[in-house]
Amino acid sequence: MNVTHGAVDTAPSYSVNIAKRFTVLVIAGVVLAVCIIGDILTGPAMLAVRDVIAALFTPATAHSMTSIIVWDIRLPLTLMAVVVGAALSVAGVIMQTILGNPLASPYTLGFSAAAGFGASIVILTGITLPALAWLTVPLASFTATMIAAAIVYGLARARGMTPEIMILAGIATLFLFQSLQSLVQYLAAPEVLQAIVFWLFGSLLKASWDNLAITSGILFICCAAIVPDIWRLTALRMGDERAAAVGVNVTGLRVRMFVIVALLTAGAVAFVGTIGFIGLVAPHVARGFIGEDQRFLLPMAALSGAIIMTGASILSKLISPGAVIPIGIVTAVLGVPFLFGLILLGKRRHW
Amino acid sequence: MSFSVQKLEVRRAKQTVLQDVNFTLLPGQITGLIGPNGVGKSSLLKSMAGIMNSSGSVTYKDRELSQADRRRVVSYMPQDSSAGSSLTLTEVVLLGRLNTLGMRVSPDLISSVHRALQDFGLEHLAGRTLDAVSGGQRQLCYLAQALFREPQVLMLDEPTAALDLRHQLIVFETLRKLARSRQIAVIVAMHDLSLAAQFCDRIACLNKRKLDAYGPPQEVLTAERLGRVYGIETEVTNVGPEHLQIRAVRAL
Repeated sequence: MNVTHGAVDTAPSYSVNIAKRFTVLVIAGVVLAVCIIGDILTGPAMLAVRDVIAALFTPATAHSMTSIIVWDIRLPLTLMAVVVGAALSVAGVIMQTILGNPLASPYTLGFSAAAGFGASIVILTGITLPALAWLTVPLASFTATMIAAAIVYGLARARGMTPEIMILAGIATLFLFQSLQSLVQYLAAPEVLQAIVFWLFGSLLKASWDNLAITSGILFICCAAIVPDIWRLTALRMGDERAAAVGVNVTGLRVRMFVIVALLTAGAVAFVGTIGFIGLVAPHVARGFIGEDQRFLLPMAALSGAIIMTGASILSKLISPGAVIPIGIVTAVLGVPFLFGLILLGKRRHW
Repeated sequence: MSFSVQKLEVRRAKQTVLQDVNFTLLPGQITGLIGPNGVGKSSLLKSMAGIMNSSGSVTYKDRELSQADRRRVVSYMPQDSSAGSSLTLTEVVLLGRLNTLGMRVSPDLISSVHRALQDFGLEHLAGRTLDAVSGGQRQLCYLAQALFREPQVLMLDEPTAALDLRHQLIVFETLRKLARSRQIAVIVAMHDLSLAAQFCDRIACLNKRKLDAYGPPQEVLTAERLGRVYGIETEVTNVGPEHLQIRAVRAL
């Protein structure tokens, strides 16, 4: 009697927990919506909330100037912030999960350094693709990121796909591409160097509807590819051996997720430059709010990444009126206090 | 219904760990796997569970099992349970049925998770995270997970290593009860010979890359064998029908 009673009694606590997680996701969604509106509002020409909402939802009747500012200038930037923030954060969660390391981020394995190198070498040489000039730099940085991923993968494949080997190979790749990037910078003429450094800072100003479509497409495909493995990712948080014991092919999972992280990172970084820290902080924020169940953690990470990124974008426009500070600088400045707060106030001793 | 191993050979890094191992696990029975440190108890369990490569044959219900088949039939619990993480106990047990989980988890399934936790007295900790419970409770939770897979064959690597005496008894009493009622064949790698004598129907003793003996505790746990295998002097006394008392005297 007691036995069945107890089981019935404790089961609701799980559904309460699930309901809580859904609520957290909805709240995060609302916060993101507010941030999106806020980001569209801020800029050299300050707009009224009512005008922005009118321009967004009834563009036909809205004031034409406002409509142009919203649709042609601000909206692509804002949505790019959302997509890049989400992509880097999802990549961060997966990286931390497959490497079993709280310090891991999409940048741990040298992906961003490679992207930076790819971009700078094209800027240095001045090569442009015949028909698609606007795609030259993104394509170069995307390619370089994929080469870095291939190097790390090759080394890990030869020596065993363990977190230790992957991190070692990744850090080595990171230093390799950083040195190459420094070399390019050293060789560059002052004006070219300025262009390279500006790219490296990371800026949303490069966003347009075209590259937004590409980055969102990559994000969408990658998320769809993660779904079948979502429980296996959760299982990996028990450690390799226990995950294997419940039926996970750990090596196969790591390889698939590694490819996804490389694509997500390359897709995001190629168009906006190296924006750091989102991929490290946002996953921790999400985990703190929602726990380890990846069915909730991944959407929450995407939302937190998007929120921090749009928040940083708003801040980057407010710090010095008239100028837009590169967002790559702001994310770290905003992210570090966030992470410190999380470490100091967090209840959990384990990540 | 039996799970048999014939001419099993386990190699690791070009060295033979075990060779020519033959025995049969019977449903409803607990087999204790004993032998000194480093003799290959874990390797034997892992290869029978299909997690580690081996040669020789493993059959279940007279059918040859491939490595992938073994992973399906056998539920294996690894030794180390020290790593904490922020998964909740409910989630850990739920992951036992990883391959059947979809995006939505039914309330029925959650109720059976709670029953599994209840078997080991963990129901009040269902929502806690692994890093917020003791090492012993973590170990019990992983045991609940292994049983939640509803295995036909269960392999446990030192399931009582982090437990106090009371919990050691709870684990073995629960195992015996569930083995009998669900007709699971259980094999447990263990160091506590008294516990082995008390709860195991059969003992498999490994020594020097071979299966030294396999049979009822009275036959296997002799002072002569324990002296030879472990290098210790022991006093083995029969204290009633099918009940041995083993006292380790000194290291030889």
